[in-house]
Amino acid sequence: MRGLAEIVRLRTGECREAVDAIAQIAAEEPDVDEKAAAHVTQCLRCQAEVAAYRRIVRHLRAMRHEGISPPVGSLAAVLAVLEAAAVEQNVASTTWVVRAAYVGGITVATAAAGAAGVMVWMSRRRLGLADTG
Amino acid sequence: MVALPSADLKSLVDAARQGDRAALDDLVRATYGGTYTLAYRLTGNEDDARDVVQDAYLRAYRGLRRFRGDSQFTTWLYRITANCSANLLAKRARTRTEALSEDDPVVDIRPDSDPEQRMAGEDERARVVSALGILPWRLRQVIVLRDIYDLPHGSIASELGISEAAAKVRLHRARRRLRELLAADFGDGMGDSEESWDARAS
Repeated sequence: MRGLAEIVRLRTGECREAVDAIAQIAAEEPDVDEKAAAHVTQCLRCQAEVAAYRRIVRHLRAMRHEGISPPVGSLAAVLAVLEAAAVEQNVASTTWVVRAAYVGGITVATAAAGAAGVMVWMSRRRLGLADTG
Repeated sequence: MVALPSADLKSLVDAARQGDRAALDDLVRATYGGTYTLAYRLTGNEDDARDVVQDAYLRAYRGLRRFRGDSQFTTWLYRITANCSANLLAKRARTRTEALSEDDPVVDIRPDSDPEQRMAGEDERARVVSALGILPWRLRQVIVLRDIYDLPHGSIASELGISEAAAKVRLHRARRRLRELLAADFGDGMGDSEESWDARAS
């Protein structure tokens, strides 16, 4: 038969193993360890701990709706950084357009010159054939 | 900075995605308070919070076209903020010669940690805020993202650059440490260190 001290020790060990589950239960999270959850339902001490942790969770969740005032000027600094980034992006895209136009112009000019060359060659060839005929 | 209804926020997001600069500025103004608050809670100080917010908005601006709108804009922005904060604090920790480990004992630096000096009926909320502020930053981040901002474990893991299992383990550790810090205010049950558990059991 187990002595009282041993029972207390065993119970304390179970309570210690349930520490993480207690926080999960208090936070109403799924996937709580089944063994730990079963212990908590039978242990008044752990239930008291769930209640205490629930108070902490309540305070934490309420913090979401409590704003902290940003320092003066910090919003303006962010807007200025975004403005600078927008200008940089515009310059980059303008440069890209100019480059694209430049490359496109060269391509078109090359193609036109090639086409003209072919036409000249073909007309000369036609004339040459007529002379020989 | 007044919080806008989500429909108004969505129209601002749509306009900003089309390159409307004024809409972008309004979007920043509408979300700035919340983003700064998150950055402050994650970093624990004003200077770092400013840096994180600036970085987060810049990244959001550059990635705005990739925002698909299948989550709320603020959730998307908060994830970016969490990521920027994790990067900044990790960089700081790498450059420090003596970085505080998650397993180092947390020293209660609050001037009124002596129960005799504490006034009866002190605001519990203030104690929670204070305890959160003295948690090591890695532990503070998971508590802030999970227990305050209700981000799913997967999102927390991805923004902190760790596995989901590691994020859960870190959250358990963080909650234990927070509970330990608040033992005097919320009862001294499960938050005790293992040593005091062992002492009680014997």
